[in-house]
Parts: sequence; C-alpha cells; structure tokens
Amino acid sequence: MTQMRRGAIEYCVLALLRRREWYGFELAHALAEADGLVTSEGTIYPLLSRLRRDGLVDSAWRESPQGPPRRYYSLTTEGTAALKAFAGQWATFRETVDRLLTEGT
Amino acid sequence: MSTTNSPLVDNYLRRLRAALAGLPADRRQDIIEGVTQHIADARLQLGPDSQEGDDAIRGILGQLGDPDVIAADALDAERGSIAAVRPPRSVRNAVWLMYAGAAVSLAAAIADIATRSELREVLARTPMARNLIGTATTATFTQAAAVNLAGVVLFLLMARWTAKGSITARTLACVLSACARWLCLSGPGNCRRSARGRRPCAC
Repeated sequence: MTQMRRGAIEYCVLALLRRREWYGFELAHALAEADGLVTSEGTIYPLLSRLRRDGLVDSAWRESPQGPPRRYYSLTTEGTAALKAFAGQWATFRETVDRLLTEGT
Repeated sequence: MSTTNSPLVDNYLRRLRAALAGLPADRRQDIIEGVTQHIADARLQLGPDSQEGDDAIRGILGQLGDPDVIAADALDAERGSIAAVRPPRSVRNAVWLMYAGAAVSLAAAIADIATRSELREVLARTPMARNLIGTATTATFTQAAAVNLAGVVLFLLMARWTAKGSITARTLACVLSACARWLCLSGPGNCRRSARGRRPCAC
C-alpha cells in the first residue's frame, strides 16, 4: 500500500468512527466493500493499532451477543480534530490534483 | 484467546506473528489480537454449518491477506514514525555475535601486547641471525596487533551497520569471518600458531 493510500484510509477509518463505535471486523468489512479501498482486510489491524498509539482513537471491550467480548473503537478529541483538519486540506488537494490531471487532456 | 481448533488459523497466526517480529511486542500483540478476533467474528457470521469447513476458513484468511503482506505494510507504515522499530531477532543475534567478535579481537590484541617478550624468546630459539631477532619480533608483533585491532574496528562497524538493517554488512561480516578463518588455518606467515601454539587472530 502506498503512503498516500494508507494515509487516506486512516482518515476513512476516523470518518467511519465519527458516527458510532465500530469493532474491527465491521471496519475491515466496510473498507473492503467500499470499492476495494482495502484489498487485504488484515492491514486494518496495524492501522488501528497505530491510530490508538497516536491517541486518535480509543478502544473499549464490550460484551457481544454471541462469542467472546469485542474491542470497540471510538474517536478521541484529537481524532476529531485531526479528521476536521484533514477534511479541509483534502478538498483543496483533490481539486488541485483533478485540475492538473485533466488540464492536459 | 482460542478461536478455533483450526490448524489453518493457528498456522496463519503463527506466520503473522513471525512476520511482525520487527515490531515491539505490545504492538505485535495488539495486531494479533485484532486479527484473531476478526477471524472469530467472520466465522460467527458464516453460521454454524460452514463454520468448521476448511474452505470457509481459507476464504476468510484469503480476504485478510497474506501475513507477509500485512506485516510488510505495517512495518512500512512504521518507518519514519516516532515509535522505534526493533530489528528482528536474527539481526539482533547477528549484532551480538559481532560484538562478541570485537571483544575476542580486542582480547587477542591485548594478549599480543602482553606476550611480546615471550614472542622474542620464541624467535630467539629459531635458527635466525641474532641481529634479525629484534626486527622479526617487531614485525610479527606489529602485524598481529594490527590485524586484531583492525578486527575490533571492523566488527564494531559491521555490528553498527547490521543493526541499521544493512544486508550488505551482514554478508560482508560473513565473508570477512570466513577469510579470517582461512588465513588462520592456511597461512603460517600470517599466523603464529606454529610458533606459539595459540589461536592468534579473532576468527
């Protein structure tokens, strides 16, 4: 996975967590479903571990209706701030890249 | 956490753990735990009928991706980040061996210095012109001490480069050790084994 792609996916995870808590399998599934954003679902776990270490997400164990307890991930205040900053930069970045990519055609 | 009783899953997790060896233990544990839980959740979703089928498990593991790919991605992402990445055990062992090599070379160099007068006596017993004994002693002593001190420096440099992840340094260290051994065993001119019966260089 390239650095750019990986960076973008990190923010996609933060964006998903904005609305509610998710557990790993759900996140992996959602990202794989989303137009093949993630091809190896397993790469989400190192990513979640990094986000947790960097304090952008938090996690808590919750009982599950079936099977063992699950680790649910949620957005921290820092995570919310980072996501907000990224969303602003991303819009400009996307427009610039689009412009440059279509200019020559 | 036992997910399974599935050799396929156990094998997969074992491979992943090994591939993640470059990460600190707590991070590695974190990732393994997430993947283990993922497999359990995926199997729950399949329903009781297909839960134990090897094909279903292969499908889940296939979607997770190859352990080496996951680990390579994790290590790549970690590069340049704040968290220190520990080199894998094989590299740490190699670095320790090189430090040991440096220590042996240093000990040999100190032994050379300490036994200089003894060397002179040994050379004096050989059929050699008296006026040459002093020169021969100095030449043999200088050569042996220089080789050993160069060994110390080389071993330390190799250890440093290897710890930084240089494959070339590891290869070079192996070649140099082999050369040192070869010089020791085959070159009486480079080695005072015949004269003193002691292992003279760090090999």
